[in-house]
Amino acid sequence: MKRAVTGGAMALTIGLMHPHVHAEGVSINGFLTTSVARVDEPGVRYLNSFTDQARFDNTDSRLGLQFTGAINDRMSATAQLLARGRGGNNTIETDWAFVSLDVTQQAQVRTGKLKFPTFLISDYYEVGYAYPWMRPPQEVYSLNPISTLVGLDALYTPSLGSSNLLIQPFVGSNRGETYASAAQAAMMPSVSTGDTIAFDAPLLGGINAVLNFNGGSFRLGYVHAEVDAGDFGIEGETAGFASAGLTIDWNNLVVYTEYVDRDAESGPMEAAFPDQRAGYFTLGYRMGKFLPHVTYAAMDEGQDESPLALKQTSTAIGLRYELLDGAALKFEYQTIEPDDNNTGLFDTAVDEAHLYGVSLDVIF
Amino acid sequence: MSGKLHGFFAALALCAAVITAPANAELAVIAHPSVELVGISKQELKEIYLGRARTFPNGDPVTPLDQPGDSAAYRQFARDVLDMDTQALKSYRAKLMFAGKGKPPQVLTSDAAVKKAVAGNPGALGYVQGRQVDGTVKVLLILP
Repeated sequence: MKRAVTGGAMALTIGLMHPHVHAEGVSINGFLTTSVARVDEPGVRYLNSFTDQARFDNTDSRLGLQFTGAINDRMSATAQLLARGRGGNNTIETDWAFVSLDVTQQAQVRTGKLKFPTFLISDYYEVGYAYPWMRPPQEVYSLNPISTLVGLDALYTPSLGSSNLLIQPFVGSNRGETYASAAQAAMMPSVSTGDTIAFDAPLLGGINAVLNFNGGSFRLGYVHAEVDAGDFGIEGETAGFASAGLTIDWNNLVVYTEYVDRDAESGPMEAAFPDQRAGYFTLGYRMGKFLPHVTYAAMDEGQDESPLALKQTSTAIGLRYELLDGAALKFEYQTIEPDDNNTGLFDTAVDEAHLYGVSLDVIF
Repeated sequence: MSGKLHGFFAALALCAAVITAPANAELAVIAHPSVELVGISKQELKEIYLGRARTFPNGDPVTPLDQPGDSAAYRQFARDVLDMDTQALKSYRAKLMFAGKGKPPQVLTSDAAVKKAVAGNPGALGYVQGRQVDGTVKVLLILP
């Protein structure tokens, strides 16, 4: 993370050193999620974080700070620092650090450390206040273990009358970590369930296309990843993520739905990242400060069948309550059922378990 | 509908408002007098206030200004122009800002502050209660 932090500091320095900034200033915004949750089944761990102990330092708790400064009329610098509650040592990472240039009124180019949109929520995944759930459905969101790249992207937004299109191509590289599932650990004597396995992604590229219309948006995306991972014997193999998503927020009705197909090149790549298909459907209804919602989600094997594919379904009911301007309180109760002889997103086989908790999400 | 017609209707609405003595809830969308537009549509306002357009319909750069989140003007503008629940709007703007895809409009403290900023800045766009309008700004749309 040292390199990334330096990148953030650099972006900040660029912003702070420029004379224009003294007039326009550096704006600071932030978000915070504090959450407590537990699984009602002893001896299991969900998402490598949640157990039957109700804990605050889980994978959901985090604090983010965003700094934005204008460099000149057409350029600005943005950095987002993220501190996670997980693990207790509270390392701070630079989640974003980029400089953006307005090429025209409709086109922008950004370079630095960027979040790339594998899925609908990817680029604001950490901002709990911006979505209804305590955490976006993990059947889909756990499928890509890497969400940032160092490289560049472009945002092109041609106007189409009452709708508007965003075309976002991106390319870059990064390193990441994935957690070994029980089935993977069984295959590799030196690895235990939940161990992190480092990998390198020298080439990450793709395209995100979003159609914004009054009351919602529809997106299609594709991500191509080239991966090296010594632990799995992977050298220059590839995986692709194809996804489609729809959101509606219209007349009190709230809908989020998404589908993704992860397809790895055969061989060792399929042992590390087996083919998977996953999707979810969320329906909510705004009633003043209350937003009750239900979600059904499923993950299954993909194109090439594999004993390593994770399979489960889950149903969640939740309530989001607008506590104060910019502060939301969320409650959620989720029933998770891995398939027979499969761990799903647990570390060990379990028939059915429930995950429930409460979180406070604020933006400032 | 052409821009000229918008202007015509805006002017008509303003006349009607003056004649009938304005109701308190009436909002006026205002810009600097030098702006080369005679009116603006709700859809065009929506594009600008939701961060999807960075220019006026004629291509000139625009700086939208907002009212405080707890003001009646803000609630009316969100409901009647943006067609959004205020909480949905707040979430929408949070996701845009933290995704690095746009910053929310600058929030000024009152009708008077918005009118003053609009009168003093050729690219500014704002909304105020109809009875606050005077010759220092140009009305682009009246919202009943």
